[in-house]
Amino acid sequence: MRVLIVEDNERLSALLAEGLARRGFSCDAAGSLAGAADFLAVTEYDVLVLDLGLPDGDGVEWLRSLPADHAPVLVLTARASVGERVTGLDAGADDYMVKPADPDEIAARLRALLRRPGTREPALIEVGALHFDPAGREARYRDAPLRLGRREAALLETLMRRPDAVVPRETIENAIYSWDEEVSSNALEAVASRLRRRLAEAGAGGLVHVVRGVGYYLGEVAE
Amino acid sequence: MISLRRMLLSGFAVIAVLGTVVLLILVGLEYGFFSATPPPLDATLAEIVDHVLIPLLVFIGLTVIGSILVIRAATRRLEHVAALANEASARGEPFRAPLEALPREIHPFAEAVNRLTGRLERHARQQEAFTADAAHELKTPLSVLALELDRLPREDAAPLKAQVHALSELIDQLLLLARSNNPGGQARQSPVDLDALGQRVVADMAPRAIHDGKSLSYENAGAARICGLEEALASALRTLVDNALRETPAGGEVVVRAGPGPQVAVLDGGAGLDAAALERFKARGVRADQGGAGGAGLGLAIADRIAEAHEGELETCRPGETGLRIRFARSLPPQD
Repeated sequence: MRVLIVEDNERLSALLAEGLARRGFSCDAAGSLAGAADFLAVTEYDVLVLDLGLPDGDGVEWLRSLPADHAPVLVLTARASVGERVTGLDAGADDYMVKPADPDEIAARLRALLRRPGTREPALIEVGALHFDPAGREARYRDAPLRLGRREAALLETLMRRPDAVVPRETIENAIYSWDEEVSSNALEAVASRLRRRLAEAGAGGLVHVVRGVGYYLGEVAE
Repeated sequence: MISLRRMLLSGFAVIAVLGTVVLLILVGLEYGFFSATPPPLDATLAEIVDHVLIPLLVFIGLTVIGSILVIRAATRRLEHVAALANEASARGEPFRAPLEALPREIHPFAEAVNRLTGRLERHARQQEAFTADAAHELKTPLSVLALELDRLPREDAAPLKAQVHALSELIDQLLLLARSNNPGGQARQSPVDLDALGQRVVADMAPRAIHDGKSLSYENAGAARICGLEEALASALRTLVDNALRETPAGGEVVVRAGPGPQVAVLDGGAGLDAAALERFKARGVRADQGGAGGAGLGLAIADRIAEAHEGELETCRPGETGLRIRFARSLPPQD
């Protein structure tokens, strides 16, 4: 996967290139917008990492001037406010990260950007040793299949689609009940507790956490 | 307290007394009251009533009524301008007293106040610009540092990365504080729903709490909306939750409660800070646990300043409960 880093701080771009190289990307680094244009003229890149404050112009303007079919752009900048993020994303950035960013996260977001074209359903959702097959509605932990009811499976799928985040109760209810179903106030708790029981039986206890007043969270799953 | 009306009334009382005395003497001289053969007393009294008391009462009475009307009209204008100033402040906008709406005599005062607020605004603007530059300048070396750490073995780098992260959050907080203090700045204040804010912060921070074996939950006790900078408020609330989680032993619970009304409380399972200790932390920027890994100290002091910039106050929930809350002076009317 070929990455072009556009960043005027040489130390930073060298370290970033090195860090990304360790994670399987091959990187070129440009120190200015003109340099970036030169690289883009001769090479095709899968994804761009763009700093916004560059010596020969502003990255946001440059983004707007890129052709419509440009490679996905991850903006990596010190500009952190919501307004600045919105401006960057509106100008055509595909993702926006604020410095200092963790190299693991940069690499993960780059991979996500490369996956995005076509955004086809992944055949299998995997979180650690938990696997879920959205088509067959089947879940496995390690090699043991989990016997889940329709709603428990839907809850697990919803949580697995957003690992590391608390999924709001409302989102879950929308995912597991159809619009005309009567939902009693503690119905979701009952579904969650059945799911917990099934997971515990398979040896994956203590994974589904409730964040009272907000929603549910899938804890770290061992590999 | 000085009141224009009272000053005017006592002035008129003095005029009435002095005027009566002078006129009495003049009338007495005119009618020969002080001569060897004074006229009969009742005739003199009738003269005095006719020519002194009645004209004086009519004159002074009308003047008093006229003056009070003039003062009332001027006061109305001042009250109108004060209401405009309050509205601007509630919307978080800068304000200039409109001179054309004020009597000319008040212009020097209004101009002086306008100059003062202008200077304060300029100061806030410069502060924000300076903080923004400083934040920008600090983040580049921090990014270099973060990437340098990436070359270290993972287990060595983890605690250092946490420190870099904490430092970067602190820089963001300082920038948000400067933005909250600059109402005319680019970051416009807007309605912030404290309910949504509480949920968002709890959702953000729950994974870490769960990872540390603590539980974090949210309650809505009838929260209101306020006017402010959502990012800054979220950052202040995050600091409170962060502190509460640190204060709470493993297995304990931290509850974020929005409301009732314009306030957000973060209740912890620790001993809780009393008012005197809280004042010390606010003033000195000491962290509740006095050092340790992660976090860079200034947190509570900055959260307090952010609350203050939103006309709120950071206070302890003791003695009823243990924890801290931010109470705001003003809420927006509920949305329909």
